[in-house]
Amino acid sequence: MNTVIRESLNAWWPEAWLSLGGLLAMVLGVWGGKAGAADGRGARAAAAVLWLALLAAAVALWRTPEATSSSLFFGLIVCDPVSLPFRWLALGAVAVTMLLIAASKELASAPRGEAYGLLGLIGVGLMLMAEASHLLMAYVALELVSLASYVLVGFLEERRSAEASLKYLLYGATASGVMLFGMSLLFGLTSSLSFSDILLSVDGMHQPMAGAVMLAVLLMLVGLAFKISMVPFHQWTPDAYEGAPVAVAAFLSVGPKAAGLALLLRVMGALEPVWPTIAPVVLGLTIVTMTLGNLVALVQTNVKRLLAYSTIGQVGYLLIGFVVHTDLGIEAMMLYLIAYFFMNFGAFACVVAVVNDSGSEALEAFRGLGRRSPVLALLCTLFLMSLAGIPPLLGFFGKFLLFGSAIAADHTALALAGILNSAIALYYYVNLVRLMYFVEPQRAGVLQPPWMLRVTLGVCGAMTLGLGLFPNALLQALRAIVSANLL
Amino acid sequence: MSFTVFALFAALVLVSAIWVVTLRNLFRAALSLGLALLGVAAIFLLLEAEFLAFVQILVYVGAILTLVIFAIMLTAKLQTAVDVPSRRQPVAAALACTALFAVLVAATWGLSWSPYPAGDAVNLSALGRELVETLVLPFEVISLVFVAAVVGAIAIAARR
Repeated sequence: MNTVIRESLNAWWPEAWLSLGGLLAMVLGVWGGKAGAADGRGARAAAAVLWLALLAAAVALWRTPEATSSSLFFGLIVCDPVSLPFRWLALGAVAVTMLLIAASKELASAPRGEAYGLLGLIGVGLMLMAEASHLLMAYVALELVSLASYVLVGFLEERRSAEASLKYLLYGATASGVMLFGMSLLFGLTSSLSFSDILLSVDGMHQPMAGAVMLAVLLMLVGLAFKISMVPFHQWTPDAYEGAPVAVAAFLSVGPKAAGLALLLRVMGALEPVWPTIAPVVLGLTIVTMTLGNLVALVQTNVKRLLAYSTIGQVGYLLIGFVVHTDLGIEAMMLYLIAYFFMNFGAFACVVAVVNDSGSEALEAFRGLGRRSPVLALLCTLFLMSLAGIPPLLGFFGKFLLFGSAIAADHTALALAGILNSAIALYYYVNLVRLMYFVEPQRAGVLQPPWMLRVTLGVCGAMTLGLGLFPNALLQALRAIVSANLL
Repeated sequence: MSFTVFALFAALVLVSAIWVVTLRNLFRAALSLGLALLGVAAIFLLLEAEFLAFVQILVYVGAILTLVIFAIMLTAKLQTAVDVPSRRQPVAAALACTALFAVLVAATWGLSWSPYPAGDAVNLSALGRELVETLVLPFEVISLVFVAAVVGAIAIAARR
């Protein structure tokens, strides 16, 4: 075997294990009966295989050789320190989503084996998006994530699920097409697809070439903005979440957002000279994204749509770290992503528990949860308060860092918009808490979530509270990563 | 001479592409799509990218278009449907497209494109070697994309 490939594989075992696990899960998923026999041997074997693959990937990632910045696979990807937190987030997102899928009653008759397999492959795509250092690789990774996501959104045997999947597909295909056009334009202008070469040739480009590069960058941003639900390419989000199984909506609200932001960092790193000209556009869109997401969330009555608009608002906060364009901003963004991972998955796990119990996704289904299941309601409150940014939770600390980085970089307007938005968002998060504690329950009886949900809720709750109280170790690790960044 | 030929094929692509979006009969729209794809293949040939032209015909005209036509024929409703897509915002859509086109033309007009150092890029064996050496990772990941698409499509379709 070629030595470059052998050396590259050494740093790439986590992804290799995960793709093997995903493929094997698909094969095993068919075993032991017809599709539809969800709790049959097939689904269980598929889950077991993917858990093993995840474990192997985690071990490989843990033992990964001291992260080098040298590019792998002939310069197509880099497994540098910056990619590391995103790779962990991808593995974590797959693991939590597996728990949520296993716990979802609505997926009881769905072919879960295939769902696990697709999930594993999406995980590989997410990791690749965070590692890509070549436009071709970035595009292929993006499509792997997108195509499998379209399918997972349509996994419910309902009309609205198919409709959501189709809408997502059509929006996604259009965004991909526009992005590809931008990439081809950039290739024509720079004669290269590799990020480092693009940086070299874009640097010192003059008009009219620089204008064309600007256009290419804006077109490419369309595809990335679609992936992270940035206004004005956010319209698919509430529809796709509403039709998708809750577990899949949870995954979409965390996994692709983190990987999309990582890819955004990488692409803009390669186009550094263009940044000053497009910064005002991104800044404006960031403020619009958080404001629109939070304002529309105020009037939602379906909990999945509410969380979809809340996601758009949260993406707006995350983008602050990107817009301020400093090490401090990137650090804050990564920390808030980790916070967002735990609090958002936690909130969605509560939704899974409630939907399992009532079969309804209306906000009304949360009524009286405090009486029916005190622990669940308490944890749910914890996640919502963390999303709203109440101290001492991790969400507060992340927001504090984000707004602080904006002020440090003289973007006071950005910080102000973020603070105002947090105040707006508090209203709809607190409204849900009010429903849980101060309104009579609709149904009687104790709500006891299955063990998979209890594990998820416990881990997410412990992390949101624990890391919120003691964030220093995490912050130090992220600081080391960002300062080691050699991009 | 070569410009005349190019203009002919470009006109063919443009006209058939307009048919694809304006024809009200889906079957005819699909056939126009085939025409547009063939025109693109011809332009590739003009640019001396024989392999690309061959693949374009084999994959797009041969496989994808056949699939599209099969899908239309198998769904009997679509086959005879005439007034298919809702056309609520034709003016707005046309305006947006024209504006985008104008911006693209304005930004790319009068640029001096540096020709890509081609060398023997069209050489088939070199291309094949690229796929298993420098481009082996995207090549393998694309196979994951295909598996995900096919298995996912079957998983959804098998239950309905």
